[in-house]
Amino acid sequence: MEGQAKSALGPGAELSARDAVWLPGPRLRRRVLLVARILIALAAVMTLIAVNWLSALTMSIFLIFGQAFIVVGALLALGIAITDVLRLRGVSQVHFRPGEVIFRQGDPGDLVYTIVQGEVEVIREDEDGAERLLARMGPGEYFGEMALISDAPRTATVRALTDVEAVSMGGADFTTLYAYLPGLRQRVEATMKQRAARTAVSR
Amino acid sequence: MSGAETEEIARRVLESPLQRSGDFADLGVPVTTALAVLVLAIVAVTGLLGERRLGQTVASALGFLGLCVLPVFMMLFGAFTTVERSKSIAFCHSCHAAMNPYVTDMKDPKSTTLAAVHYNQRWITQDECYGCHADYGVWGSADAKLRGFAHLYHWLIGSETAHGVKQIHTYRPYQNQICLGCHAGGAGFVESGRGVHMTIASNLVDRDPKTGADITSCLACHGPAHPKLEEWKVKQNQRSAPAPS
Repeated sequence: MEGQAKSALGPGAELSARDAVWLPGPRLRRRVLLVARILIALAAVMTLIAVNWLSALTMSIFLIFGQAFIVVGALLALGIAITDVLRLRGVSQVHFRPGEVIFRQGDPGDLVYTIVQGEVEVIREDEDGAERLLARMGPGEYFGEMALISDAPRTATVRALTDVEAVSMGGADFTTLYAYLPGLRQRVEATMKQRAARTAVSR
Repeated sequence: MSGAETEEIARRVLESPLQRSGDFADLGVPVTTALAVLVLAIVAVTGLLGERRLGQTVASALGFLGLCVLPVFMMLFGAFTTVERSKSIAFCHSCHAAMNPYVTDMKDPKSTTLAAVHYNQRWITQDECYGCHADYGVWGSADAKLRGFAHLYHWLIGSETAHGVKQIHTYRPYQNQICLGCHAGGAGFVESGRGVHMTIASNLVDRDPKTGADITSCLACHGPAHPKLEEWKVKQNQRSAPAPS
């Protein structure tokens, strides 16, 4: 069963995580971007100093460290940009650590996720900042489709409770399938109704 | 403007002729500075506001511009600008304590060394150190700057040669091609000394395969290019000694 899960999308829609492209999760993405920002910012400061207060020392630091920081920082940022494009197109595999936020309430909708392994919790944040648990989901269940279908921001926060292996699908691909596959559409709408009812009961 | 002021300006112009200005290297400082400031601004804005406030599309576009595209231009302009500006005498003299005797001698109007004659007659009008010490060719500048890193290392660890205590030496015999780059082809060069340059032409161009040195170095007849360290120290001591009463 490892790497495979019977999807809640319906019969015949079993997804193989092994066949999907592995992409960094949000936490790794944020960390890589942070490192890239720090490297590029340091390089920019070194450049400013070297160009405006030129000496053998400032020039050497810029040419050795500044240039290396720019190359590494730009490559890291480019890698993230490429994975962002890949993530939004087709199906990719992604891993979340326990406690990692997969998306936040209010974020723009970009992907729909199917859980392969692990468990997540769905939380609604009230205006006063209090958190309310709406649901827990496990292998085979999917989430993130509502924001794509309604073209609205995320209505809840989803956080990993355990190590989570998931398969994500780009919003454009999902909405295309949703529009042209009536069976999928019916199942997704039924699930959305169930969730809306569950949310209403929990209020 | 009074006559005295005009006289003063005229004297200043004759003593310190106008340096080149307006070329690409001069443009490098403001362009690189603007790029660096722009990169810092984008990094700060995308880092502080984040994707939620900026929107995913704007954040991605700004991130790609500020972290991938502009830094590359900043790197290229910065490298070009610093390398070009580092060719000046002031730059070479700023940290090379070992160069002090040579720069001082070069600027001495009474000195007869090759460097002093070239400098004082303004045969080389700018970047005089670099003009004679970076070999011509594609890799000349890069090689000179790479050696510069080694100089900085020796200066930082307190090497006696780097700090002007011991005599320095060139890494390899001085190459005639650097002199010939300017002098070859000139009527004065071809005809001088009853055409002696043309008589020994092969000696000036060919090199000893074992040492890599020219068969006859230009410096053999026209040297020295700079004073020896000990000679310069003696000369300085003689100058600083009190005049006999």
